[in-house]
Amino acid sequence: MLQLALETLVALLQPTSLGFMVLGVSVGILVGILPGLGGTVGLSLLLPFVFGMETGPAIALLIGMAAVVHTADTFPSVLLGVPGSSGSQATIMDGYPLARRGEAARALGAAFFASMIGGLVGAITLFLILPVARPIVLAFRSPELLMLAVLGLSMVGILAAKRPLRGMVMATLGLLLGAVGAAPTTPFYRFTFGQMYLWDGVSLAVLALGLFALPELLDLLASGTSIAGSQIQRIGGGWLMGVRDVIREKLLVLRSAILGVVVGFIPGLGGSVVDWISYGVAAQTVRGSEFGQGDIRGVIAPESSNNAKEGGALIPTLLFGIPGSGTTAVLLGGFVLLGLQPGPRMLRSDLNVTLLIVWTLALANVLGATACMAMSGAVAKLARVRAARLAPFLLVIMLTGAYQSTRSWGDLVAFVVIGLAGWALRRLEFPLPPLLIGFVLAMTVERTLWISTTRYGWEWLLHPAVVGIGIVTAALTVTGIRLNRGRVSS
Amino acid sequence: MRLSPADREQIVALGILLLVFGGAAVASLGFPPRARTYPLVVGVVGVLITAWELLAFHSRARSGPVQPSLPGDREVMRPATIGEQFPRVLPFLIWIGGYLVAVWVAGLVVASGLFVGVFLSREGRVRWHTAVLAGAGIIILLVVLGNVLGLRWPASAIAPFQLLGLL
Repeated sequence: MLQLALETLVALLQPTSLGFMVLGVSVGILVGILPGLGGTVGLSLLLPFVFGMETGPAIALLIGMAAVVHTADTFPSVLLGVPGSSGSQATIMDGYPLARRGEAARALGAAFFASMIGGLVGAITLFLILPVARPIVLAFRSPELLMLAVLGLSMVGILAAKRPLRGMVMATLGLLLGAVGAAPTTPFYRFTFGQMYLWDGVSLAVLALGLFALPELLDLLASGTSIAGSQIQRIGGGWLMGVRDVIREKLLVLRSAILGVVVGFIPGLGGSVVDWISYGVAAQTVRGSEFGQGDIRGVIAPESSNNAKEGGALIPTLLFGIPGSGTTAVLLGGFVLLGLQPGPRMLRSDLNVTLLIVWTLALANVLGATACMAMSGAVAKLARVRAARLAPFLLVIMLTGAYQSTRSWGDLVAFVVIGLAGWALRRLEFPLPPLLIGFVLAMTVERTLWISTTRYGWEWLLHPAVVGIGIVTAALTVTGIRLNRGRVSS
Repeated sequence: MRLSPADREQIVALGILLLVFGGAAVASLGFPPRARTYPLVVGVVGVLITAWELLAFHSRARSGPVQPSLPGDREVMRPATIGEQFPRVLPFLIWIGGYLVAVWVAGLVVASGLFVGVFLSREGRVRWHTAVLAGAGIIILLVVLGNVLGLRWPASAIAPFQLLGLL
């Protein structure tokens, strides 16, 4: 495996793949900086362009983007007191007070360096777990894969923190949208309303763009302001002090990173809670802390864990095909577009792709953190740009991206219709990531359910692994919902 | 207690979802057996949980105002109803519609340049030469991207523009 790992690294360092990784990192930084545009939106923007690309450069582009969103989203958290994405909410607690005290550079330096180390811990863990995971994954058959899909679906209750029942409604809507088009088990077209465009089903890229990107753009335009408003803080000096803070708190960094990997590994828990769990654990265990009043350790802990989470979240995504969040759901869609089948094949015939993901994750984190430190001054200016001056460029990217799905006018019409529906659903506080998870898992659920019942009848329900995963699903669902309730009430 | 407009919107939305799930379940009864089970089960489950949410929401709304989002959430900044917010979004929907019509007439490459230029000068309030430069920049970017990545764009529906659209 080491030989293959070295060969994969050499392949990644070829100009084309390296160029696409740099492009992905650049997009990831931009997406992270713009509040509200998280990894899901970023991947949705890139997904249509991946169609038809070679696997290596496409993986470098997608993973490069996903790896650095939680590095760059620190900018708005520290400078504006607004979370750049769901994974950087806890950073505000101490990052923003530090910025208001004129120590923004120290907070950003610590955050970027901690993010880089956290990301590397995540990548190393993903690499180390591959040989161990291999026999486990290979033992999984259709009934177990079906139960893992159910496990993924059960996480929607956690993703929809405030209203678990609405999360379930949205996931079911996603499952229904996944039934549009040709049935996988027989030559029959369902819910196409006589439209040839729907024969292949709703395009994942169009759905993701419509659900997440267009509503965000409309709200940004309707607000009529710049991203930052008048709240932006001066960056000041003290970058090295932040880096030294991280080195001094190395145990906290390592502990938070490992916590991030573990939480990321559990589907559905990662994105929205990892920073709060890490922050909460640090606040409870660090001596003499002044958390909430500008304690640098309140920046280091969540930033170490939210980047490390990406490595952990990729384990179930790659090996079991379970997307644990909106971001990994879109990423999983990207793999499908590239002809990759998450599951045992990722450890056999597609092991080189898995190793490429590990290397991209590691290199993108180093590149992203370095770039963020270098471009801090310029970023402060970008956040002052009025939404009306950014919007036309974003809309052109979205429309051109949507059109690449099937290259028909149906893509553009579907993008606008889904976008309007997404905007209305978001206004009505229906959580959208569960819809995407349901949609992505629809095909797996239908196919594995059919194979399981055809081959085993209903006896598969009594398979030990099926029962085990069922118990884990129930336990995680109950624990997750309680955990979210605790967060909501606090 | 009378329902607020926001609560009424929630109930209408849940009602529409109920119709979607119910309609899917009924339609799936006409499918061949091997294509029927999955959409039928999903439709029925959808009807059940949407009805549960609808009843729960209705009883919460009748007993008092439904709690808004968490303090600190972005949603708190938003007006309460779609009816209030839609007029603010409508002008931009018209812009998007106009852009699509322009794509149909002139093809995506030319229409994008025009859209960026006109939008920036009208809504972004930039100087005319900046808007022209931005429009030209987008056209060049799309042409380069199309050639490098081998992407195809929607061409014009009108013959004289097709040459420009393909460039």
